[in-house]
Amino acid sequence: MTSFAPRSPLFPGMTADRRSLQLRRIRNNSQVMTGGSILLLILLIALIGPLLTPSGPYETDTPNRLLPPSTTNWFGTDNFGRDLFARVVSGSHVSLMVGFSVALITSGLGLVIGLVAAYFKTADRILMRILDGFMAFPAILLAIAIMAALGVQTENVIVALSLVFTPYVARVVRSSALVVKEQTYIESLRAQGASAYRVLWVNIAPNVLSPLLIQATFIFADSIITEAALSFLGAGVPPPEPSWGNILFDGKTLIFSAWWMTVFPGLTIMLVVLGINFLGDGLRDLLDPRHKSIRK
Amino acid sequence: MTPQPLLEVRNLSKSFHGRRSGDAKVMKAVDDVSFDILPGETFGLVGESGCGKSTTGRALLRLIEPDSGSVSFQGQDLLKMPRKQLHSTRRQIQMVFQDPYSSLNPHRRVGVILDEALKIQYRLPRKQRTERVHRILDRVGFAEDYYYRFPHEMSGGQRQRIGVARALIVGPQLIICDEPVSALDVSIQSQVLNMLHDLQVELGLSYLFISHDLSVVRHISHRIAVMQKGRIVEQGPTDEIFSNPQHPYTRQLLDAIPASHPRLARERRTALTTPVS
Amino acid sequence: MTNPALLTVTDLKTSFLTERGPVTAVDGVPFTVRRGETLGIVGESGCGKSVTADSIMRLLDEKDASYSGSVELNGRDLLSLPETEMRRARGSELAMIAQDSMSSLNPVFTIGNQVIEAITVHQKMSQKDAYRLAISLLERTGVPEPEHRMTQYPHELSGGLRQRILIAMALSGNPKLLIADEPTTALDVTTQAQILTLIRALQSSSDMASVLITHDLGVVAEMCDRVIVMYLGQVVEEADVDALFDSPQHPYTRGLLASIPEIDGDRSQPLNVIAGRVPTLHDVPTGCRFAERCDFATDKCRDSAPPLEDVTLETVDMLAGDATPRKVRCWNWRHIPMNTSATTAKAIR
Repeated sequence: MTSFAPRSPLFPGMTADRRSLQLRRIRNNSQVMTGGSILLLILLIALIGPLLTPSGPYETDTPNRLLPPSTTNWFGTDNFGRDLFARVVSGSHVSLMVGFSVALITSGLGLVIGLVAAYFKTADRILMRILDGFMAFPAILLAIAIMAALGVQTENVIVALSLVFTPYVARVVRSSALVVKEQTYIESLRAQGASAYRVLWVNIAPNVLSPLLIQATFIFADSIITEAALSFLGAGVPPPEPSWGNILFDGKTLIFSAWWMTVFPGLTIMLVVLGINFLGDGLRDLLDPRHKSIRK
Repeated sequence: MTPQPLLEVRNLSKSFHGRRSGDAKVMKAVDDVSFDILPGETFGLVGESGCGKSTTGRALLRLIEPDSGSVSFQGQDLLKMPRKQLHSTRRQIQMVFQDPYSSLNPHRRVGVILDEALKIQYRLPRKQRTERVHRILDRVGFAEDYYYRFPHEMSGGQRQRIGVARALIVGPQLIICDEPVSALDVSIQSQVLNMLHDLQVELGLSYLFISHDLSVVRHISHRIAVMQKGRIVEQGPTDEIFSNPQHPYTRQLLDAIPASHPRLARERRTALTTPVS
Repeated sequence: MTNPALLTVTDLKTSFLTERGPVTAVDGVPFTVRRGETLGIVGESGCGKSVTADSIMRLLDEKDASYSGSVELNGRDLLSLPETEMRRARGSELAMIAQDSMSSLNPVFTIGNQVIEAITVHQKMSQKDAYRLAISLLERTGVPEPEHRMTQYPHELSGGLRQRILIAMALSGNPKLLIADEPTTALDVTTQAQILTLIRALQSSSDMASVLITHDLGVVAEMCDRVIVMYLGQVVEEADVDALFDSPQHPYTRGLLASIPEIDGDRSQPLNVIAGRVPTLHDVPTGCRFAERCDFATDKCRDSAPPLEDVTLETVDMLAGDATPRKVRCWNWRHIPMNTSATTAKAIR
């Protein structure tokens, strides 16, 4: 009975034989596998895509404008003759970067706010009312308002979306932390005389990481969609830098003559969001004890 | 001459108010409770659910702030103590909880849980702490490699022994045991009870043993207090309480205990059904 | 005295598919229950006693649980009944009360709603008649002010009252067999005594048989006529209740009896400890399942699994006059001296 196995990063608290069980559970979880494969494929294309394109995303070629998809221009060309595949690939850098940054920032902020709110009564009242205020606005309106205040810039998109989505993460963290807080081991720590810091950050925090991870994947997907919507409305990533949103915007007026300008970026967004949501749902099944199907 | 009590509880009271503010309903969870615990003694606190026995245990440690009364430990009143001083007094008074499943953090290894208990109370170099953790693990009967186990890899009885080790590691004089064996199977229950007894003999510990199970309390306690609706209705040496209960509620409790043999059960039933002439 | 068997369970096996492979939670359990009799099933957590109850009622999710063997109630095999007929049988021929009275009642409906529903599921009658029957059931189970209780919600009642209501609901179809799974475990001692008295009174007035599942040997002593002791999915001993307490044969039964602090026992002696822990169902030992915790285990015990064999009158003198057969699953039961279990308290391992 050796139990010296190192900690597994995704499933802390697991020794070797349990971990192999976890790996089997992951492999048996079709949602995680499908979602993960889609995302890996998109990531791969985003990385090696620039090598496969006939021209760069900014190179205009006026004689060859609005060409339908062909063997040279896989997704066709746009109204300036730019290769659409190159632009979608380049746009994926922006979209994935925005999505990832927002997921990361909201997780950090949400974790801190949620934990503090769960543990301290006064802070809870103040913080939760502020978050309620934020959540009273439709996400997209709030994002537009913040963009208007900050100015149209890629970095500001990240800031705006992080502000919009943090309340959602904080709520999830708070409610999970409230459950953990009622566990006897937390009472036991208080009986031993542990400080609030120790109780909150050393003992409660690791217990809310799984719901946080799940929520982060959904925020990832949501912020990709919202970024696209912002860019489509002209309040997101400024042209000529391509993002999936402003490629769609460019194609809007030509939707009947050049369908490829809306269909391909649209399909890409759909595929990515689908992949992330699959992954998130699958992770929830894996990590949420209420969904576990282990019997004694 | 009777020895100086380790813990003196006097007129301890705690009320809970109804859920809505301004609600006239006030529940007296602990009502004017007084008792002493002597050094090296097990004091049993029995009663049915909701009688206030657990609230009493928690109020002593100020996990729940009592409304009034005094709790003096080695002559110092815990209830008037500033937080800083209370912190170091918690070295002397520790607690063991009922549910061995929720009383250990599932994300931490056993060694880390014990080490943390030590870290909270003492500033010691890591090497000394680790050494003490290993010593205490050995004392409660675990092989060295249990240091790296997670709680979910252990049985209920093993976890409860870790719970006891966590209380022991800071060197307390009094351990408040809140239903420490009620969640365990009978054969495991006896392991933990025997261990608590051995530790008491070896280290001169005192226990406040809170339980609803009269047979268990009888087995381990020197003196017993019976609680009903927040009040202590009777207290005294174990054998006296069991052989000659004074309060009607105590008698009622004793009569309700299932018989230890079917023949005794039948005898009691016929005694109850045939009217006394 | 010939009392025909009401329930005959033969070689019942219940397996689950888990992520770590299939496990057999109940492994070849036989027993019979006669009319009006109370059979106790005792064992510690994980021994399969509750799964046995669920299997008789067929309450397990049949997507990942499978049964084999037979469960004959009045000569009809419940395990091979189609689900629709099984549903008819539940509540009318056999009924069950569970440990947790709070989660057994729906918190959003009144007691009245739920008792009346339990009645009308099996019997066609008007709401008015059902209401009257409900009141009389509550009266029979000793619920004070039944009219008032009918309008209350589960959380407004004490645990003891809720358990009485559940018993009333279980009785609504006049079942011939009542299965009670730890019916008093969540209750205080005084309430437990009342509920046990109630169950016994109901049984003696209606010739209903019952299977009482419990971990508490005190409850067994109070309630049961016969007892089976389970360990890791198997029956290790079966006996009349007096015989079991007088002369337990299996080392596990002895250890169990000796590890309870008795209310009139000797306080100066340490309690008996059964060393080690129950193995998991994933690594069931090849030989006797209790061997590694047994003080009397031999190589034979570790190598091959003992059958459940009859304890015959010639071998145990003190059983003379005992009408019902006893069974024990142990190779060495003949050679284990009596009265040793209490003194084998081992150091905690």
